[in-house]
Amino acid sequence: MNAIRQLLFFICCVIALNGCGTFKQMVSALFPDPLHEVYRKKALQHENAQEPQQALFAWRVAARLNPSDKTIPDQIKTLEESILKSANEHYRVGVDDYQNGRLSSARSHFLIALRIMPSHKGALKYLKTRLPNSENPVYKVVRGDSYSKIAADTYNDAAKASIIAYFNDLDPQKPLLIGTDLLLPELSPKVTSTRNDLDALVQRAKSALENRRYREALKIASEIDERQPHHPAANELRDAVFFQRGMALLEQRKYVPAMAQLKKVSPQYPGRAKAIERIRKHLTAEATDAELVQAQHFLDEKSYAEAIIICEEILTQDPFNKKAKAIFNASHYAWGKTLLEEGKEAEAITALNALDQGYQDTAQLLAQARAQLNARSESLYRKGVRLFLNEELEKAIGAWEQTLELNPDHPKARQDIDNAIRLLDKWRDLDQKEDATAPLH
Amino acid sequence: MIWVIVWTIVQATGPSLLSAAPNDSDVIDDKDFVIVTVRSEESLASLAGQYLGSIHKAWQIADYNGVSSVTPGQRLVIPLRPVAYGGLDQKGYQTVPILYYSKLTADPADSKRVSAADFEAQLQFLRENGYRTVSLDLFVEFLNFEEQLPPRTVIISFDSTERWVYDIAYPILLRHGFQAALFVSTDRMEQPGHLTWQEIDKLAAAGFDIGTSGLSAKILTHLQSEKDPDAHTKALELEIGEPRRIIQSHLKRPCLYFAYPAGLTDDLVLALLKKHGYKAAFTRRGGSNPFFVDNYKIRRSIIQKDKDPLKFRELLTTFNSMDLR
Repeated sequence: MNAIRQLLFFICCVIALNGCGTFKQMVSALFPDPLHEVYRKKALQHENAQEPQQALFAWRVAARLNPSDKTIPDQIKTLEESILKSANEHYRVGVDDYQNGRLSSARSHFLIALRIMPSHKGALKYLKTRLPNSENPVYKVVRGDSYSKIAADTYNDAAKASIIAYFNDLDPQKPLLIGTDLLLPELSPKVTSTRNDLDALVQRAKSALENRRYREALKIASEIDERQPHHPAANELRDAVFFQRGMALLEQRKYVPAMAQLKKVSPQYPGRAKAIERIRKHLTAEATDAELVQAQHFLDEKSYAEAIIICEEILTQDPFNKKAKAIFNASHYAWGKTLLEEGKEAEAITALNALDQGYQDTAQLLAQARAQLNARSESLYRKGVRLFLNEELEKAIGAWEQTLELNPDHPKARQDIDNAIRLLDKWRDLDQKEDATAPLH
Repeated sequence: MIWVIVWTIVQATGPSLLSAAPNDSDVIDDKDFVIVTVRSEESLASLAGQYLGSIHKAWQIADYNGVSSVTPGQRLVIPLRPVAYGGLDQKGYQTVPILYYSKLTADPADSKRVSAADFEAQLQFLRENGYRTVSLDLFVEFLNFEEQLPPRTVIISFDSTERWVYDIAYPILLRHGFQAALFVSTDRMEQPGHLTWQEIDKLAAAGFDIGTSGLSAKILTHLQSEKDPDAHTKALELEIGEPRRIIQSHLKRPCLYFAYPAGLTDDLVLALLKKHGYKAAFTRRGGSNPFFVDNYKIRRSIIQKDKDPLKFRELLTTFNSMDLR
């Protein structure tokens, strides 16, 4: 019991003299946190697996769990030195690869540098800004440079200074440091014109033309014109663009826009005249097709005369147009038949006469029309005879004239009219003589 | 006398010698990590919220400690900084696929657009296979080599203000617990058939990142003003700067992300985006994104109507193998 009392008294003295922290250290040294050993092992495992960041983290955890473990700070220091050395080596190789155009290998080394040491700013900068923009020109800042001066030199416009700054994630208000590498963004073509030469523009335009980027090719042609008016390449480009566009539209049977494009091509351009002639033919054919549609419509509507007029016009231009001929025949036939049914035999015969006799039953219809016409003219003739016998000479003449209208070749009507007229004249003479000899009342 | 001495020792050393019950004195703080003993009411999410600032970072604690859940009394090491920046390890590096849907349709017979049913099936596949979506802020921190992402991170994006975003995409995303990035053209807002600011605000509150695709969604590399450099720069400034201001004024939160109309950009557009304070910009060039992708040329894979789910899965590349020993 006394021994226990002495131990407790000793502990109290330690606390009183050194504070409770020292006592805690004593306790932790005697009874270390079991988690400490777990993280110690983890750290070693990560080191063996060449995962230095994970190892470093585990060492730091282990150190906090057991501050009395004096070996850990040395482990951490050695590991940190090894990390820095290895990361810098990969970074150096990466920069060398980048400068020699081995971009894939450069990326790999920068990634390893960052895996080993995430705080490596150089590797991160190359990965984030240099590699993705490796096609952009890089300018190293020299004494006397400013954003405005570089903008004026590069873009011929000092106002573009802020754009350079923002593109490089720099504050345009802060001075430029000598030796800073600046990526120079490619701005719109006009802005960057001082950096490009005409040949390059022509090449770009040709490439655009080959890839059928016509709008781009025209834009470049205008740019060439602006920089050097009447440059032959600009006109050649424009001709080629309009010709290719015209031909493409022609293939798509878009004749009107095709013609519009080809008319913009210089007259001497090879192939232009032939293409325009082709379009004209197509346009004529297109117009004819539209007219035929109209003629068919009139035929369907039984407006035969209109259908016939349209077809006659087409057949005047193109006597072998089968469709026009077909509508023409169908119109005449239907019209003739209708007239015949309406008792207008003469008109029916006129209409049917325009047809080939072999067209459907045209010959038969014509015979029928003529027979009906003869019958009607004969009937009128006999009516005339009856009126003549009744001494109604004037009416008889009228009937025979109608007969002749229906049948101009009637064998007797003309002669009978003449006889009737002579008789009428004699009667008039006799009447006048009787009037002259009669006594006055 | 003995009890007085014992009381003195207990006061000096704390209760840990006598009791296993943890308290604040069990937490070991370091600039790079904390070591904690889990209390009865704590979970991975609550620990992530307390020490990492977001419950969504629970996976970091789980991954580092090789656990899927915690039990009271368990000792855990919580890394306060990424253990593997950029998802780098000896076998390669992490990449983040960003899926771009141009339009979703409710009509399953539509032969051109991704249907709601297909979208649902794709999200179900992502969820069942452990994919996670993250905010654009976190994604950009990953690009800047400042943060770590879950191993199977994917981002879903739309560049539209049309109603389908709210009526079709949003409910499906919500069902599967995913967030998305929406890039709006501010001129089209509140137009017939388009979203209202109130709806956009609701989407933002639900975790959508709201970026912009410009004032009018005109293709910035083909503006009418192109022939006159000064007028061109001014037109671009308007297309790029104005939507940032408009979105900020409506949503009371900054707009930091830009999606190039038709995915097209050039160096001038890029410089102006930086000038106006955008942190990242998105193209429509296919492919998955490593941390070292240019922040202003981020790739997105266009998701097209396709009956073959394998083609969708091929786009979900989350790791690029490479010997980095």
